[in-house]
Amino acid sequence: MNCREAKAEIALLVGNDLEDAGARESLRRHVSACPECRGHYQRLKQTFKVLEQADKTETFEVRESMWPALSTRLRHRQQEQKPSRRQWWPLASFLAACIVVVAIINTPAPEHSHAPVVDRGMMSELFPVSGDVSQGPLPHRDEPTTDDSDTPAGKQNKSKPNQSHPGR
Amino acid sequence: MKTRITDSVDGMAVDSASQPSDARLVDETRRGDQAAFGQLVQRYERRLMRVVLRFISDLDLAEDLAQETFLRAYERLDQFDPSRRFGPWLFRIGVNLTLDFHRKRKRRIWSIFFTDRAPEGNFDPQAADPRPELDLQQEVQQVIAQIPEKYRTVLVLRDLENFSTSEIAAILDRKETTIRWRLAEARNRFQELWEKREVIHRRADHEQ
Ligand SMILES: [Zn+2]
Repeated sequence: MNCREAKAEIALLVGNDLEDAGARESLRRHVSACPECRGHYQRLKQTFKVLEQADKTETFEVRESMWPALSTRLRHRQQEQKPSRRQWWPLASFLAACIVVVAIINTPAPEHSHAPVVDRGMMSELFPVSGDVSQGPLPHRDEPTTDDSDTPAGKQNKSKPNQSHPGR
Repeated sequence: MKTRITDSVDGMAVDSASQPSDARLVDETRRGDQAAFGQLVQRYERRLMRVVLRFISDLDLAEDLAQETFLRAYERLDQFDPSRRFGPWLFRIGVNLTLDFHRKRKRRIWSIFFTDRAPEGNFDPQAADPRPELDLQQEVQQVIAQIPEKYRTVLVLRDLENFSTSEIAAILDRKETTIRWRLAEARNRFQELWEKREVIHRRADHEQ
């Protein structure tokens, strides 16, 4: 073990974060033979007390629970989402249908097309029953659900489950 | 109702018989029971506020960030893997949100207490203002503020907030060995900086 490694492990040791007994033993051997690391250990132990005190002296006053405000915000968000979906999609579908009609009416009949020429009057009668009379945009439909690809397992990281040890 | 933040690492593993587990509350929330989410909020809000306040010293801002954390958690609850623990997942959202916010306002946040201090990285010990009226908490904050963020975050979560290194690994989405290495580096840097400012204190006392 060199001094650099020793200093890192000393830093873990002062906060009780060097749990491995073997690591502690080899660190102890290095420190007993290395005055520099011994000095580092003494100083770090002193400084670490400051951090521990700072931890203890912390007393924040908190205001009331944020839940009442939060639940209001959650309810508002949900109310915003639901009606907007209901009102928006029929309108969007209707507009899309209008666009298709306009597009069909304005499209000149293809001159060299192999596709059977369809009478425009007939076409508007067909609309919107048939979907393949036009290459134009179709009226909006609900998109297929893609929720399956969004499994929670795929989103989580792969690190080991936590094994918390009790605090110091 | 005023409540005082306690030091406990509660919330991370509340499984006492009288209270429903996090997992159950998450499940009930997913089924549409908003009150269950309310219980989770009440379980974690103090701890979350405390953590956010370690990085952002403005109480209103901290509360905004904490609320936003809960809103995002609620919206992403379907992405949460119920076989894992809710606490670290929640704090991951909160810490990321806070650090993002903090990075955007890098030059301001840490200097709320110390308006005359240079931002991290180009700290000049001679320019430091060793005001004797600063209490220990503020002095520690001032020194921690000089540590680069990736070390500082780990130091704050471990030594001020008492999360375990495995919890921090989950919160920051890093391997535990990385967290331990950063923790060691952070403590050693803190020690150096702390000693440096003690020297400044002594010098200032000597000159008076
Ligand atoms: Zn050595």
